[in-house]
Amino acid sequence: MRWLLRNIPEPLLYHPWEMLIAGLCLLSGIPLALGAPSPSSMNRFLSPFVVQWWGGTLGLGGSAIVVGLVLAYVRPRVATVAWRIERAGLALLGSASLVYGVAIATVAGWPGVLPAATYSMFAAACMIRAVVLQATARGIKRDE
Amino acid sequence: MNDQIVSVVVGTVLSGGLGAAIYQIANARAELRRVRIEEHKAGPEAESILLGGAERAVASLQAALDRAEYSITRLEQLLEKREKRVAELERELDSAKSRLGVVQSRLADFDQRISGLEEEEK
Repeated sequence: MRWLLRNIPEPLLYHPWEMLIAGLCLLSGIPLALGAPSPSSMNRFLSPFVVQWWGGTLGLGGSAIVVGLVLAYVRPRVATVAWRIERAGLALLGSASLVYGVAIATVAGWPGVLPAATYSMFAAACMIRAVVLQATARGIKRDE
Repeated sequence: MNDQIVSVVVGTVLSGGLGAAIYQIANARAELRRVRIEEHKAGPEAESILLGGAERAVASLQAALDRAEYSITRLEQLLEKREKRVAELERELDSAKSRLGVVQSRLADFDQRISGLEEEEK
């Protein structure tokens, strides 16, 4: 157990949810942006161009969150910059997951309520994290 | 028509996200510039040096603690082995003592018999 704790990188150790979900979005978003087959609910809901745009948003958001989280630990001096990058990623990922949630709810109807709610909650979590980061950065600036 | 409306709405939401992201990135650049200027002006701050030093000290302390823990475990194992060996030696000593007691009693018997024989010869 101790070996595991010592060897997991700090960003992953302290932000496992954010890191892993952002990593997943990065891995799934980039192929979508490049034209890989997208979820059927999105295909029925949106035009191919908007689906690609959505994939790009997902990939960019995921990568920005990962970069922001890692940067905050690698270079603590520029933590406020890292938080800005993370907030950029949260804005992208939040909007992308909101769109996906609405798409599932619209296409699948009642059976799609659970996945739609999951993605909507994810969008809400992105917003809350962004607000917390903003408040933290403001607190630091006030202290300075 | 409906599809077009949906695409426009979704595009608006995604654009909103993209706009917010661009705003944050632009601010991040400004923030980075500000941090660099401050670093350049102030040089390495004592606080960061102290924090870095403390971090390194904590890390080396942690490593030393790990090493000490490992040594303690090894010494404990060694001590256990020694204790077992001492217990074995004690058992061997006890059996040797009892054997010695038997030999002594036989020796005493022999002594008696020898003295008896000597008296008979006389």
